[in-house]
Amino acid sequence: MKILIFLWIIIICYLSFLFSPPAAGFIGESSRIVFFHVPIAWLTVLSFLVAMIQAIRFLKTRDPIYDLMSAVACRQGFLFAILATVTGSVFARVMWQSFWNWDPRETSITILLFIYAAYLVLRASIEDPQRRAILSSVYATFSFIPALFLIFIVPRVYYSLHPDTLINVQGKIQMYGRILFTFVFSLGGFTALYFWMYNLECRIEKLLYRKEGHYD
Amino acid sequence: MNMEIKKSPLHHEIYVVFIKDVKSELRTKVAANAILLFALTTLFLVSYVVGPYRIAPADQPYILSAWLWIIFFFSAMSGLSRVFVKEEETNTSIALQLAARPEAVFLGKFFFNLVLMLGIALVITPLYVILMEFPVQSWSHFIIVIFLGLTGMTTGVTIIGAIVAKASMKGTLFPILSFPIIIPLLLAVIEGTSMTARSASLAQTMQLTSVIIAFTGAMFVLSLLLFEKVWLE
Repeated sequence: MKILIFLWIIIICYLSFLFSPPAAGFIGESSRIVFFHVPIAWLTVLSFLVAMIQAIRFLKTRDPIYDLMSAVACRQGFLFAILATVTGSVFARVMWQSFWNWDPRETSITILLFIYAAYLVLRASIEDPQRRAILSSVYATFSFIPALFLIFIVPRVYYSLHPDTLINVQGKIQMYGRILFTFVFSLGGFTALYFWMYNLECRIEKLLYRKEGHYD
Repeated sequence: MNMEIKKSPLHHEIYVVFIKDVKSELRTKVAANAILLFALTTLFLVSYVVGPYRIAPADQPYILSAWLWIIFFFSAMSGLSRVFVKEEETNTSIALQLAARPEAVFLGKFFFNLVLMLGIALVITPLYVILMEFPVQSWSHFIIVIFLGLTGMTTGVTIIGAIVAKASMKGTLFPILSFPIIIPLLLAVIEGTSMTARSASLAQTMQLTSVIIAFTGAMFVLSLLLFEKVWLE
């Protein structure tokens, strides 16, 4: 499995730099970052969704495993949020001559970053494992409202310089041919990479949990 | 052993929890005084250092509405977790768990926080408008936006207060956890407040208002569902 994903990522690198032409309307070769930035931003949102689902499962069953899985999703989501912010900022510098200008999309990703960070701080500040599991699960669920709001409503209401995403107002995909192929290929590859990473870390957490009989 | 427990109606329980909190607050007035003094201190500072004339008239709507909400946000952060923290500190939360349904506890404390925040705003907002000469164009919109904003803020923050009360480092954790939750609301509310000073069209203000109401509604419903998990943890 990991060899397959490794090859997949290598092919993504090949496709995005050599196979796909640079998109029209962007400065130089800057549009190529879309093959990395958008999948990572998607993973940020996906981990958020996973964290919330696992948190709800925990609250329903009270099985500590789900809380651990929710925490894993949050930790990884935090990483993806940082990567998405950095790659987006690099692109903004090339396109708009400024690393940061509080574009609605930039605002959204920053706040997602804050939510992840707040969740991790909350986890760190509670000693009792059961209490920590419950409170952080509630927070993960509750913070889904601002996340939804930021991902879907804010970019609609406020004017943005950000290129339209796949889910745009017109509901149309504005990519064609080789670019679209590379993009979808990359999105798939990164999603596979995510589930592999997620699964791996969850297995580690479960092993630790079984070994120690309690979780930490 | 055939004891029948008579359950009082929910609205009565909410009322009782609310009155209990009002009474215990009136005894010490810690939360109200903390929030009010915090707000007044910040207001004094802003007014003294900047005053109404150092900002270009074109910038006034933006800067002044941002400041107003910074004052509200941090004042709320200094006192709104008190309702739950005090139950943990005095070890009365278990008695309250037995005495009332979780929804009643949440709603009672939510209304208490709301009344507290609105009361503070009643003092601070006129002072702010007078001292900073906030150029309000439409008073009705201004009042509606402030009211909705404070309601939304209280809704989002009350359950966070319940979470924080059970964690360590309560004072620091409260703003850290609250900030990302209510920042979308704050952005919309600040935008809305500045619109009332820019005589923006009614349609624009209405769009923002509907966003604020939807956000508040979603937070309110989810808080009601989740509060039981935190409270009876």
